[in-house]
Amino acid sequence: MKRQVWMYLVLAVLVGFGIGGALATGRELTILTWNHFVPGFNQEFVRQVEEWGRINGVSVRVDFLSLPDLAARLPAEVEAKAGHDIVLLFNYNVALFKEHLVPLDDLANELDTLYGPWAEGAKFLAFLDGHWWAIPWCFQSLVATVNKEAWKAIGVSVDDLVNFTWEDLLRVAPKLAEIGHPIGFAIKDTFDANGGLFPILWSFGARVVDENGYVTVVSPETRAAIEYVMKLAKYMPPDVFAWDDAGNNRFMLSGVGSWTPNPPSIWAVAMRDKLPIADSIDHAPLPSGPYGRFRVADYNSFGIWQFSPNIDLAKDLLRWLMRPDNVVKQVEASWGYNEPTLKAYNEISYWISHAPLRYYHPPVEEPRPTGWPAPPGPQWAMAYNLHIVPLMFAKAVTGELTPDEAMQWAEAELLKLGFKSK
Amino acid sequence: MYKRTAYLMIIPVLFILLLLMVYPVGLSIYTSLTDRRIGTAGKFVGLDTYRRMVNQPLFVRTLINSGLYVSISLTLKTIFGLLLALLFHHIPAGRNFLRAIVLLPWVVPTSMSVLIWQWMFDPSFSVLNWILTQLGLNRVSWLGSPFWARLAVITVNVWRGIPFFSIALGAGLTAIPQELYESASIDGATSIQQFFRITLPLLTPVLNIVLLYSLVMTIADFDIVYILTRGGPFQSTHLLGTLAYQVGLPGTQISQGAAISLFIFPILLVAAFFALRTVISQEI
Repeated sequence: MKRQVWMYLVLAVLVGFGIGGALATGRELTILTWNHFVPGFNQEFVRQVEEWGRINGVSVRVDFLSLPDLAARLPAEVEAKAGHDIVLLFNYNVALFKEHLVPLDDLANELDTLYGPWAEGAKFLAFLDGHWWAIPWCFQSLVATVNKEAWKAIGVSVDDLVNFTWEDLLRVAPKLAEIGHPIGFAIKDTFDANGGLFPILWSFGARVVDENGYVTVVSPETRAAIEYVMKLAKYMPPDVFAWDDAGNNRFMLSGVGSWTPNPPSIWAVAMRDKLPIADSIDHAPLPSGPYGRFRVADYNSFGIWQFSPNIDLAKDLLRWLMRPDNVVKQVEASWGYNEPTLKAYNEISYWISHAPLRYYHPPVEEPRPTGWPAPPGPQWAMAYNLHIVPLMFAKAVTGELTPDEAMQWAEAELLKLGFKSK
Repeated sequence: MYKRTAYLMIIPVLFILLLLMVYPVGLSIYTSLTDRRIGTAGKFVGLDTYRRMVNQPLFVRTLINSGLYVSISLTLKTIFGLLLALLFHHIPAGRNFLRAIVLLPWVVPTSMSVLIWQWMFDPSFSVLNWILTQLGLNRVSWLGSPFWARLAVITVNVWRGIPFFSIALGAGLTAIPQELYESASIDGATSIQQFFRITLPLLTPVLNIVLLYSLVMTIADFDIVYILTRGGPFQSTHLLGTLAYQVGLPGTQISQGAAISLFIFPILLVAAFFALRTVISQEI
C-alpha cells in the first residue's frame, strides 16, 4: 500500500512537470548583453525590457556577461544554433557573425527615417554588403579623463585642453609627473590600450590597414607615432606596461593620475561612491595632431540570430529600446556613458546639464572604431583580440624592438591573419 | 549471470564516457584537421593547420612558456610538498589542524584565490611592493615584465598545488613501515641516509602518481593565467590552454584552437605511459 502511494506521488510530480513545461512554452524572448561598467545601468535596462514584455504579453529574460565572456559566448551559440534571440555585438563582431544574423534593413531604415541619420562609425560596422546586420544601439568613446586639480597646479585649465596638440601634451607631461600626478594609458596587450594608441596613430596620419584590406602599418607616419609614444611613456608610471582594462580607472580614482583616455565610467563611479576625487574629475577632448583629432569609439549593436524562433518579436523589442523616452532613460542610467548612434538623440540634454560631460558628447574629435579603416571582418577581429597594435607599441617603447622592427613585426602578424600585402 | 549483470551495470558509465570524453576528443581531432572557423563547415586540410602552427613564433613561445611553467612548478611543488609532508609526519601534536590550514589554498575556488593574488600583484597598489618599499627595496613590475609575470603565475600555481602534494605524500609516508627506520637506526644510518635509502624509494610510486596527475593538471592550466595576465605581458605567459581559447573562441579560428589544445596530447600520453610503467614495475 505504501509503495502504491509513493508510485502515485511520483507520477503526480512527473505529470505536474509536464504540464508546467507545456504551459511554459508560451512566448518568450531572451537577450544577451554586456555587464555595463556603470553600476545601476543594468537595472534600468531590465526594467525597460520587462516593461515591453508586460505590454506585449511576452516573457522576457535578460542575461549579462562581461565583454570578454560575451566574446566567447557568441561562438558557442553559433555552433550550438541555440541560445538567446538577441545578442550584443561589440564592434567588429557584427562582421564576424553576419552569416548567422537576420538582416534588419526594415528596422534600421525605419529608425533612420524617424531619428537618423545613423552615426558614421555605427554604419561602418553594421551596414555590410548592402544590408544592415544589426541595429547599432549605442557607443562609448575614450575621451580624456582628467584630474582638473592636477592640471590647475601646472596652470592649465580643462578648457585650455580643447586646443591642445599631442606636442603640447608631451610638453606638460614632465610637469605633471614632477608634481606626482602623471598621465597614463596602458601600453600592453590589453583592449584599453587602443584608446590611447589609435588616436595618436590616426592623428599622425598612420593607418594600420587601409580600407581595401592592404597592410599599411610600415610607414613614416607610424614611425612618427611610435617615436612620439616612446617619448611620452617616459613621463608615465612604469605600471602602464602591466595595466589591465581597469588599471587606468584605479589610476585616476586613487587620485594619482592626471590624464587618461576612458569613457566617463571613472567619473560615474567616483560620483556614485562619493569618492574624494569625484569633484576633481572632468573630461576634455583628446589632443590633435598634424592629420586631425580622433577618438576611439566602441560600438554596441544588437543582432538577432537566424535560429531565433521569435524574429518579429525581437525586432519589436529593439524598436522599443530605441524609442526616444527609453534612450533618454538609458543615457541617464549610464550617467551619460552611452552615446547615441542616431543623430536626433544628440539633442539629449544630459551631457550639457552635467558640466564634466560637456566635452564627452557630442565628440569634438572624430570618433572611429579601433582598427579603422580596416574593412570589418574576421581578420581585424583576430588582430584586435591578439592586440597586434598595442604589442607593436609596447615592443618599441620597452626597447625589445626598434620602431622599424616593431612595425615590421606588426606587418608580419597582420599578413598572417589574411590581410593583403601592398 | 553475475558477469552479464556486471556488464549491464557498467554500460551507463561507458555511455557517459563516450558522450563526454571520447566524442569531444574525436571531434576536436577532426576539427584540428580542417580549416573551420566558428559557424562554418570548413574543409579537410590534413596536417596543414599543425604545420602552420609550429612555424608561428607565438605558438613556439607558448610551447616554451608551457615547458617552463610545468617544469618549474612541478619541481617546486615536489620539494615544498615533500618538506611539508615530512614536517607533518614528525610533529607530535596539532598535525590534523595544520593539515587543514595547509589545505586551504587547494580548497578555495581558483578564481577567488587568483583574484586576491591579482590584487597583491597590482601594478599600482601591490601590497608586496609596499612591503618592498618599506624594506628600502625597489618596486617590482609583477605583471608588467615577462620575467616577473612568469614568476607570478608559477608562484600562484605552486601555492595552490603544495597542499595536494603534501597530503598525498604524507599519506605515502604513513604507509612506510616504521620497523625499517628502527632497523636502519640500529645499523647506524643517519637521518639523511634513511631519507635517501628508505623514504624516497618507498615513496616513489606515490610520487609518480602525484607527479603524473599534477603534470596533466598543470599543463592544462587555464584559470590562473587567464585571470592574472590573460597571457600577457607581450604574450609571455600564454599557456596552450589560454592561447587555444584566445585563438579559437574570440578569434573564431576554431580549428587552430583545437590544434593548439591537442598538441600536447601525445606528449602527455607518453609521460603517462612511462610513469605508470614505473609504478607497475615497482609493484611487481
